[in-house]
Amino acid sequence: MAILGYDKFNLLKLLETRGLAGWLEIATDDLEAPAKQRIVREIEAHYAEAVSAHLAAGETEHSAQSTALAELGDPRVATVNFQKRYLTVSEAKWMHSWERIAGTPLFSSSMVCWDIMPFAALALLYPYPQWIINFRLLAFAALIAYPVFRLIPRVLRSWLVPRTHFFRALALWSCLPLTAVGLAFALFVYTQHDSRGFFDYVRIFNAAFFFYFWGFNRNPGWRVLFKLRKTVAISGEETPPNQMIST
Amino acid sequence: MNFKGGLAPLILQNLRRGPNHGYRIAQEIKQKSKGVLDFKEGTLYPALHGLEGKGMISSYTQEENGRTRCYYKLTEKGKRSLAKEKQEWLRFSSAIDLLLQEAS
Repeated sequence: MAILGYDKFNLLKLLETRGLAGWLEIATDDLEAPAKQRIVREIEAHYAEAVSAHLAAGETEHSAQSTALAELGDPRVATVNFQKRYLTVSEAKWMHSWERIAGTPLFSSSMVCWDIMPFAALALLYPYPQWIINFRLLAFAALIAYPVFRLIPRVLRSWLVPRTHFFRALALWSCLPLTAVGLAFALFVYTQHDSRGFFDYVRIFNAAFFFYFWGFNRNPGWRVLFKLRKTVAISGEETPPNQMIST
Repeated sequence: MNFKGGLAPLILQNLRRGPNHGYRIAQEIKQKSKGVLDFKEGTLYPALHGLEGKGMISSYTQEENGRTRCYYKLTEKGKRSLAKEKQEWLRFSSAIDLLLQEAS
């Protein structure tokens, strides 16, 4: 995370030179734009209120601003708290790419590569005796990938209103294939050697690590899902999926 | 003092008397606790947004003295949750009281 780049010295220097803008820059670091805008709006109003209160209490303008800024607390703590709740830029991008695929009509020109996939897979499955087994595996993979990445997101989009529900369902759905990949990796690792004793524990550890790494750590779906469970749509952002604009 | 786990019921209790905005919520909690509970904004706003996400409070913006303020108000779900939290807190604190009295 970029916030780790701010040590105490840099932080104090930034706050001294840039004041509230510096505080907000750190606190909203890496958050997606709508969340950033909402937080900035609220904290700015809060800060202005605090400065007014200190001025009314007889402080000078400079002192009022410094006290109000100090009262906001450590912006790095705020970053951690906000990032637990709101999507980061990369997570939002990831969700929007799913949303774009789900929002495009079947057999549209931009998605034609996806939509011919099941037909190509069925053709590959046709049992020509000279075809090697790898083609059939490829066909099975394509037949699984098509509903996972194209068909089911598309169905979810047409069923679920409002948009937040659609996003949550999409995030949950997107977790599953990647977790399945993690499980497949883990099983592959586990079945590689038939060992006993100490090495059996090593095997179990490796399998568990692969499951964790590919199923959870490298899978933004779970993180996004947990965040969306705690988050509401930013005011004015709630749009039914059928009115969403595909970009 | 930062009373981390107990911030949610304090916010709900504050909003029981009507809609309020973040700055005033923080100030009222600080004043009523005689300065013992002083929440920094990095804790308060994520907590407010979290309660909103759980449907316990709702928010709306209002123009006031040329500033756009975000007001929060308690929902029915929030009222029910507050009543339950209060009951649990009373039970918990009376149990601690009993234990501490016994110890002294």
